[in-house]
Amino acid sequence: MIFKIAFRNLFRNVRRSLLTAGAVWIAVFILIFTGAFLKGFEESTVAVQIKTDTGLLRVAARNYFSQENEWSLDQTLKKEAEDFLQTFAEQFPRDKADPRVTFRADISDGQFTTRVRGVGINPDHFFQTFKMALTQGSLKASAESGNIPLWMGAALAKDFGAKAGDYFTLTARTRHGSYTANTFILQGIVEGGNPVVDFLSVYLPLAEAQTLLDMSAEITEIVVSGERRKKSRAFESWAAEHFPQLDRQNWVEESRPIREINTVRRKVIRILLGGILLIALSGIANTMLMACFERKKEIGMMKALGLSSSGLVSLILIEGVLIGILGAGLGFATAWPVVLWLEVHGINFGRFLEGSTSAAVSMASQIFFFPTAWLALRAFLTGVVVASLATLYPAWKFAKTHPLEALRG
Amino acid sequence: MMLFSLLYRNMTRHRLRLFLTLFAIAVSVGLSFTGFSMFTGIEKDLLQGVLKTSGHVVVATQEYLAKSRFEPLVYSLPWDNRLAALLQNIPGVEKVSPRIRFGLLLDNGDKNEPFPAVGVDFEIEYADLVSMVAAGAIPRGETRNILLGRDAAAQLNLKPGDRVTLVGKTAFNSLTAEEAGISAILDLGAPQLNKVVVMPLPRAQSFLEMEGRVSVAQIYLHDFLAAPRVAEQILVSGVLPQDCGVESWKERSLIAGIYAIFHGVKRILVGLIMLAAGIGILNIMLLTFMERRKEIGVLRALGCTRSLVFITLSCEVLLQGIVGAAAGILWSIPLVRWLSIHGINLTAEGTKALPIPVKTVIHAQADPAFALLAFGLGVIVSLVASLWPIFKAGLIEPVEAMR
Repeated sequence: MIFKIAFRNLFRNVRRSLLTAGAVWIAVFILIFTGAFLKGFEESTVAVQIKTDTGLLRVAARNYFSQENEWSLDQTLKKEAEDFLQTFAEQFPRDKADPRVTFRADISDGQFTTRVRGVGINPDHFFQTFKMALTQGSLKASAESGNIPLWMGAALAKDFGAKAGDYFTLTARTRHGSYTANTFILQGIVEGGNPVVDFLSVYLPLAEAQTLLDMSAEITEIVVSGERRKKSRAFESWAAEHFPQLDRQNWVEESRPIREINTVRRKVIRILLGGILLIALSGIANTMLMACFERKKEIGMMKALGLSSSGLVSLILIEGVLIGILGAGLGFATAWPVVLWLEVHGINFGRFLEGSTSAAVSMASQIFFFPTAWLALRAFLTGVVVASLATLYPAWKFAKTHPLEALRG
Repeated sequence: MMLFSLLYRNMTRHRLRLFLTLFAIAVSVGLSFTGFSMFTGIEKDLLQGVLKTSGHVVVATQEYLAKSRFEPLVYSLPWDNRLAALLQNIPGVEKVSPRIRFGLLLDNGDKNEPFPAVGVDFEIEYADLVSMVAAGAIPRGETRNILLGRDAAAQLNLKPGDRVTLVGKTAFNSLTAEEAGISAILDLGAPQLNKVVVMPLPRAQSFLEMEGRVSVAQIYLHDFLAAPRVAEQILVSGVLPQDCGVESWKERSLIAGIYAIFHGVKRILVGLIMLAAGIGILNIMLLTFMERRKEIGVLRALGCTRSLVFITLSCEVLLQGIVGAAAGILWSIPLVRWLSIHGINLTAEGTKALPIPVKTVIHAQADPAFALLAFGLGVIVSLVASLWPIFKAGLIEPVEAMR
């Protein structure tokens, strides 16, 4: 009964109800939009990182990861790597493990030189596991006689003005510290949408990298990839059990910097959203208050006819909740298609990163929004709760009025 | 006077409602002011961190600018005191800093490591260099000693007073080696920067066989936002040798992109805050004026013209806007002050991993102009939001309202 009256009250002044709901609408829209963007930023970046570079789990010799930035070749794997790759293939026949040698090198086209990250890989296996777009040349390692193939990130190739078939010299230090160099032919140009790949990386066959660095069948790390992220836990516990002497780094640890940057963003946006909700709150309180004033006589009548104070409070509260549901529903209905569209199409930030020389931060150049049901539900509930909170004061104020006083107007 | 007392009475008729209206305006104005200050603070801290190493405007040869990733020494810029003075005299220029960027090998006698290096004029950079000293001291006057970034020093176990061998390639691609003393260890604020070797410019020039030449001249301005204008001015002034290019930071896409994103986010958020406030105010005003429908009808019947109704109601709204906005500025001033002194601590591993020096505590940039802007926005938004209700009230026919 009370619900029915409250529902009818809502339609007495449709425009007012809509305008009141408008504030909630905006707040819910922003909540869903920014939430999906932030989550999408994180997800896109993490997904690209996993897909093009780090896989789900990296395994290396003890202390390798803590000193990775030093580019030391002191901690390597040989026997363990063979064992690991063999038992892994038996244990997880559908998943992939790629042995790699990562090293620092200078690359030169004869005129210009720059520092890059060299990666020794098994090309056929690696390019199958890590999905990168080929913009020029070929991913096959079958170079013409005598030439050693090399693949290069697209942005690096652009800086050089390089094309497939060009010759490059790679200068590096062997694991003993002496200088070494060799000439390679540019076999293909790859693009991963990951700055570390596109701006900083060159790939060469594992055996050639080992010869260059004087490493006789040693590798620096094994990168494990699987179809689903959840699998990284299975990989990790398996590796911990069978190869406890090796260090591990999973994709969650790998993506920590990006998630922490996001935490900062979230903080800032949360403060501003709090402000917007506060404004919505005062707007709703205001209109509800006025609606009640307008109906003062009516309220007095209802009270005189025996409606209890609590009944009156619930009457007003229900109207507030309905306004909240209306606004939050509108917010959801307008924001959801937008974020769904952006989930498929994404926003391209690539042009901001183009031409940069310091893009060592992992950031996907294409950000796909990541809407979740939980996010939508939370935004919706926030809207409804704010609307109900805002009606608490008017409800409380009018519940106190004496019927006579109210009837007098 | 009559109008004013009517105005005052109308406003105070319903105190709670007045309070709620003022509250909405005050919250949005205060938030906008805080938001402006905070975002500008982030923008400034972040950008100035980046621009400190790269300069606001860069002068170099066209070829160098096109291939700057490779730091090609062959495309060097002829440099002398006359050119420095000419650039220094361009309005808005604070500091002209000639530099040579190159790579070298540092050998402590035991092992050697490659590092990025930069040749700078110690006299021009003195204040900046001193502010970064972690150990030792910056030499004054002519010196041949070098300075080392903290991580570079740690990697080779070096400290002030030690001597090292420098191995590099000259602009003509021949190998060269010299010995040098270390005067100071620097902390530049980010891991990537802390590997740098800083060399006095004259020594770098002789080491690289680049006498009278530099790779770039980095120009710092009083106001870094004026960079595109100053770059244009430098270009048309004709002081530069032929084949030289000028690049302001706004043309360097990564930095300009970060800036554009921040600027956009700032505007969008302030816009949304104002939109939310505007809808609230629109709602309240619509109700307020509809409530007075009868009264307005009486006024009109008594001979009050439409324009007078319009003026009265507008004045009411304007007054509300001004009072609310002023209250908003008042409550947020202490907050902004606090934020500009103490800042928000963003300590996160993430900021440490960034390749640019980002301060972990971000301070708000308090500026009276932002207060004024937020104030003006608040007043304008409350006025604009009320336009429709006012217009509607003005249309009320005397008879209609009396009925």
